[in-house]
Amino acid sequence: MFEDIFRMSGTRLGPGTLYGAIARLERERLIEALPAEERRHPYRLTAEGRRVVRAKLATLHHFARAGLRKLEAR
Amino acid sequence: MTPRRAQQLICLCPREWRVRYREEFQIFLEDHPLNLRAVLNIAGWAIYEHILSLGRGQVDQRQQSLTLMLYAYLAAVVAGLNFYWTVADTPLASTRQSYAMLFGSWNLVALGSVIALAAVVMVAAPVGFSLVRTACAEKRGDLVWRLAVPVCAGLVILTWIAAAGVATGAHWAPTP
Repeated sequence: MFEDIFRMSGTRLGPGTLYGAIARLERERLIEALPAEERRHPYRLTAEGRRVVRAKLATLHHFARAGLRKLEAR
Repeated sequence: MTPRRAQQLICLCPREWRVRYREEFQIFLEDHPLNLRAVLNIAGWAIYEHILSLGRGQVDQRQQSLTLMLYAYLAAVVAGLNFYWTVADTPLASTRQSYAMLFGSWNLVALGSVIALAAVVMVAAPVGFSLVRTACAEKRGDLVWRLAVPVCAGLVILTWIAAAGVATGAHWAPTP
């Protein structure tokens, strides 16, 4: 997850920031832990988490499209 | 990072959080290098979690945000007042008397700090009272202990000021 975030955003999260976010998302039942694989502790989105991410991505998509339209109109 | 260093850093985190995440966080830390940025990140986040966990279960997210803001304001106001009192016995104090503009500005800042402190105390008092009442009603010893920390810290500072005042004949502030 740590490396995925770095690849996607170019930002290395601090350990506290990452595990703070994991704890908050799990508390809000947006993610759930999967069985550990040796030293890896994977998580996956819950159905509610999937719904929230979809809604946020749709908002971002509309926002980006509107922004690009404005830029191209100039 | 060595297992020992990782354990020391994990000890900074709230107990209820450690119960759930200790094992995987330990592995995560051991797989990453120890540097100042990581230590500061964990320490800052642990303080944030301790503050949030004060009212978890009893207060909603808005009240938690309010509590955090109050802590931040209180820290800024206390720092301002401390600065004011620290320089009260330095050459700046006599310089203030010679320049009306400096004198006016200084007192304006001091007055602003006192008003801000009063405002924070007025808003924080009901929140604090509510937390103490909940802690007593639910017999949450851990909550009482955590709430006692800032009070004890304040008492230690006041005791130190009083002791320094007695020992130095009330000239405890740094003098040239």
